[in-house]
Amino acid sequence: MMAMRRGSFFRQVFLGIMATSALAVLASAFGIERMLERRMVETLAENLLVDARMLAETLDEGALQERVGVLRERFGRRITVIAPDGRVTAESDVPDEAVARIESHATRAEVQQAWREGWGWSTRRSATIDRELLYVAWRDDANRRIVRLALPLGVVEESVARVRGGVVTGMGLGLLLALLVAWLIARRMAAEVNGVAQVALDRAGGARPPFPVTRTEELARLSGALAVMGRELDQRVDDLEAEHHRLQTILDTMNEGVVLCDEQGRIILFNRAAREQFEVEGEVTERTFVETIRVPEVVALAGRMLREREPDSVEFDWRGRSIQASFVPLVEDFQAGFLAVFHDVTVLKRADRIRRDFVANVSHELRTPLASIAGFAESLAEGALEDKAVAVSFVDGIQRNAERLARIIEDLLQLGRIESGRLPLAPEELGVGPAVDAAAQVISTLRTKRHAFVNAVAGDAKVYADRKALSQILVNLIENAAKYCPPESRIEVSADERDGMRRILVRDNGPGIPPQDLPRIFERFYRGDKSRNAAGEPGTGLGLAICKHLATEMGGRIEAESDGRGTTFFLFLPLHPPV
Amino acid sequence: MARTAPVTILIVEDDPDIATLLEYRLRKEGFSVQSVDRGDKVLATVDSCMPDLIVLDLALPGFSGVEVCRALRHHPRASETPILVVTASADEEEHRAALAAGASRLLVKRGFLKAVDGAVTALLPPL
Repeated sequence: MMAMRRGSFFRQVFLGIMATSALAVLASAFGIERMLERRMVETLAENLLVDARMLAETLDEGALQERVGVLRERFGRRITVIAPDGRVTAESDVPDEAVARIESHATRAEVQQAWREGWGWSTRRSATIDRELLYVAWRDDANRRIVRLALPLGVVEESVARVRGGVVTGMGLGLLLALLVAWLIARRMAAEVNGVAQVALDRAGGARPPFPVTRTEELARLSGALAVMGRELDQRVDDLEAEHHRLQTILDTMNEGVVLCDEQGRIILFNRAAREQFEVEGEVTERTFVETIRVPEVVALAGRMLREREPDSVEFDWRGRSIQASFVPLVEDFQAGFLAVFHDVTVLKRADRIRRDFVANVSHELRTPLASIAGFAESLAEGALEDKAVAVSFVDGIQRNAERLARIIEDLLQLGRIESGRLPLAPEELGVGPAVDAAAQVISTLRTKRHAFVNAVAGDAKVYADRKALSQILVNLIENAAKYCPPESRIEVSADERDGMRRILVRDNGPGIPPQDLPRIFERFYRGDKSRNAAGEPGTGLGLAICKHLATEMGGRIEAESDGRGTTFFLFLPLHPPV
Repeated sequence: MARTAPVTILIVEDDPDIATLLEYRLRKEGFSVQSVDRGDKVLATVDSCMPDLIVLDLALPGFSGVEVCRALRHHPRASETPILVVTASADEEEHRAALAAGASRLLVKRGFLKAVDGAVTALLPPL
């Protein structure tokens, strides 16, 4: 394509220049030759006129025919003498006896001209001797006759031929030079056109080279116009790209999966969230919705969407996530396709379940001690007061349950304060070791169950935390370990640094927490198998939830690991005040 | 009470205070009372004491109350034994589940002790 077009332009320019040059050369060659020939004939004619005048002096009327024969021999000129009536009185190239039979020369052009103007000349083929001749006639007024000399033009033709050789050689050289110049010009122009075309093509391909500066004015204008157009196009392409980028960024940063399909159900757009939700990899455009998202509920809805074209939605569970899908049919630009938006509601549903569980749990946790109190009081009123031993135990029951209620209410209030940010925390740099010692002091269970408690925290381990909050967390974690472990277990607290934070480990060698309970132990009121909490006062079920919230409020977190050999709680807290 | 043979009642309740109260009330009424605090101990105890009535809490460690109900109804010695469910739960769905699983009657804890006496009497087959 390119080569052909370039060749065509090159050939046109080249051949054009060449044809013009050749025509000019040929025309001038022809003209020069004609002019030269004419000039030579004129010069010859003038020479012949001089000869005719000189010869006329020597031509007496008598023995004229004899005389012209002599002069013919001497000067090599054909000599004719013509009387005023046109009769030829002497003719050098005709035998004497034939002269009288020569036709009248009165009508010969040179003769008529000579009678009119004094002399005349012409060239023609001689009827008398059948050769191309130059005739020059002179009017000899003294003798009332015309003396005419004739010379074969072969001489002229020879001279012209000699000159023509030189001219042709010169013109040939000229043409060669013209050829070279034409080739150079054509090549340069072709290269310039080519350069502009190539830049235009490169730009079409997405590159942005500048348009070349050309020496040809028109091409320079074309190049300039293309450059202006190119800048306009660049601007538009930039705008479109920016727009596309913005749209892509929005789509990819969305938490909702977005999928756009045409009327055949083929995918036009598939954003990052959708890829993650449905674990789709590789190129998806041109694939169909049905073969990409293999969720039965969604496939059914997509089919209905293409048939009935009514907005619809469905909620489904997919690989442990709850996803709500909303489908909207599209018209116009998208040729009757549809838009599907997938909203992951797992967290929402989980939060909703936790909230509902919490309400149920609060009601249960408050109801149980209340039921006991009411039951004890009722039984006392109905006669148990009479039996001293029973009465004492029932009153004790009322007291214990009332205290339990108070503890639960206190914990709930504290949780509420932490969650609403109303708990005043005053973090400071604290020694971890002393805090652990102080916590262990207040936990009587450690002693009653004869646990081996080890404070393995290095003396210089510091943490940036609120003193009371840290103490509450440590008491809670150590007390939990003490309560859930069989007597004479080992409970060890140590500390290290991890990820730029202080990490405090509370490790026991108790029975461990069942795997199904582990992810939920920080939920409020969540207690696994209640039987594990065999010893002492039952907890409120809020301790770990409070610990988690306190740690979070102080810029840290709590994690737990457990297996059959024991449980470890990891408390992460900042080492330093935030910068 | 117009009964001649001692009637045995099995209490399934994990809260020791509630268990104490139930035992006290029912013993005072002259019943022979047995207690367990876990759902998974019920079937074994049924085999040994052959109760005439079972008082069952729903929130239990081990098996849940509903599961215990269902298991008892499939147990040859207890398929006909009246089950009185006593629960602190206000969850009506759970109540329905318990009744569907074979509970004979259901009481919500809180001022329920008087009602226990009447319900126990009503559920026992007349002599």
